[in-house]
Amino acid sequence: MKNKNRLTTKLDQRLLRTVLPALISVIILSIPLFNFPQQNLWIRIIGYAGLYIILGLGLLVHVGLAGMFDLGFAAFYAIGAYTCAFLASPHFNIHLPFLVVILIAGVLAALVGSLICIPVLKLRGDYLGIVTLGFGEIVRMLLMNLTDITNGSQGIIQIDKPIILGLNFSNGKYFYYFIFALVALLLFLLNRVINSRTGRAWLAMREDEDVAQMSGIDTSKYKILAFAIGAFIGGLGGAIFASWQGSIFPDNFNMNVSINILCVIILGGLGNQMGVILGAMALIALPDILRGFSDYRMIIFGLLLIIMMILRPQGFLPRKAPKFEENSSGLPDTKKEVQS
Amino acid sequence: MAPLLQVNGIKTYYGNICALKGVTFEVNAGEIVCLIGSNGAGKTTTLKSITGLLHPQEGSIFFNNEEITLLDAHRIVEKGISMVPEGRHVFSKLTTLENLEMGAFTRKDRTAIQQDIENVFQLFPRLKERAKQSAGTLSGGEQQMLAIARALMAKPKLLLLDEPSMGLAPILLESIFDNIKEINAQGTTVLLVEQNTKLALAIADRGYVLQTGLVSLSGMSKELRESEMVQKTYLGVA
Repeated sequence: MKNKNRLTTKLDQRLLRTVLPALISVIILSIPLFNFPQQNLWIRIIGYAGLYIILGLGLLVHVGLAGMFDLGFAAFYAIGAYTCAFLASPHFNIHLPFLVVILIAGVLAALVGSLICIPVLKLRGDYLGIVTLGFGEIVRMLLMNLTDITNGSQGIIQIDKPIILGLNFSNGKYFYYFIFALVALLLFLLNRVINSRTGRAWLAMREDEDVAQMSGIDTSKYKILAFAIGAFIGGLGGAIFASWQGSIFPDNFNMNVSINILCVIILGGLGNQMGVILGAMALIALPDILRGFSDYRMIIFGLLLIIMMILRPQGFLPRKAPKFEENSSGLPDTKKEVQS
Repeated sequence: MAPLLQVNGIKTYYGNICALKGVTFEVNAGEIVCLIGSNGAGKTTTLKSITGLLHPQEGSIFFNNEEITLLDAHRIVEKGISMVPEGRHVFSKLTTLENLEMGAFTRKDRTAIQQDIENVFQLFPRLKERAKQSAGTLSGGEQQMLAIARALMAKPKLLLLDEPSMGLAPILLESIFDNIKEINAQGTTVLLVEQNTKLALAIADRGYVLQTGLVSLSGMSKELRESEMVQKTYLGVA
């Protein structure tokens, strides 16, 4: 009986890890291909979920990989978005190409991310959460009140449509594919990082910071690195949002956004990249899908969330088990040994 | 020859509280030295000051003729000091093997790391049986072995052990202490912090008695065992 249970969970796991992601990818990629009623609405909904996958992956680096509790991720999202708005709109009359803008947005967010990280290196857990929460609000208040630069609550409008290699991506379908291409790229790169020396260092840090230090890991360095990488991804997300939406306002980046992104990765299974996809689909797309239930939709949505967390408290896809468990020889496997 | 580790009058504070009031001692290469003392005497604080987890406000620490007083913890590991923290602290979600690899984080010589993994498995055969098991599922004694083995993976010249006896069954205790002796015999200098004074003095060459942040007594293990003060306070001999 016990054995059978283990078998089913194993099957279950495999299903969740391979079949489901494949299925989702096919659905995502095929949505713009076929004509069906309300197609544009669907492109918008799923594309928006795609944006949240990007943001979720960024926050995943902070919370899931490095174990640094971050409640102010919207700050990096906002920095990316406003960078894009400044550099590609009539606001300052600067019109840089989209690919340049998105990179600058990421780099700037990463810079701010590492700067904010330095004074809080010693903080852990909830305390770090409070600091980042405050940071997120500071950024939003600055956007709101530096009216000369940011136009305050009027926001910035008429942001340039993204043009990549001469192709106008303002067409929803193209941009939709651009978002998911970026998702795929980020998934690939993050996977590489996780299985690198850096990933190992994060793992050790998250498990036990003191012991990580005593194992010779420069925790300050790896914390700053994690914050910079996560913020970079958040900045990319912001730039995408700005050019997709065409206009941005400080309220697009309030605390709710930070919490939502956090919910995405917790729901998906903290520490698992594939989980972020499921989390974003469930959390971002579902409320729109439930629109038919009009006023009751948020109640249904909330109930689903509660049921979900009771049934799978670790999220849709829990953190992957360490790779070594597949190595049955009992002896060190030279190939997977110590990545350096 | 200058001692391997030289601690000169370090004063370490937790906020305003002075935990070490000028601790001085030395460890020569090849020795086993123990620090004994009751709760709150400053034993762990001393170790943490050496490894850079805490920084003393006054005094200095020299290792291998090099000042390490204010270096960061990870730099000190690179210099050749490894610490086995109190209460074991293994990475519980990682496997035994991965824990060992983590201990070798500062090293890049893959083949030598392989060899060293084999070596620690020889020292602790139990760990080899548990190689693929996640460390959280090991027994207390096995976790202690793993913590020691992980510290050895950094190839330290000096191994700091913080209360290896804590929470272990008496029979395991002896085998762990035999292991410590063997590690020392293979060329690693050991600084041992223990509440179990009897066992500590049994394997150490020399010892220091810490009392409220100061070294109150020092000497060869034999002398300490025979000292009236140690007998009364720590060995429970009337």
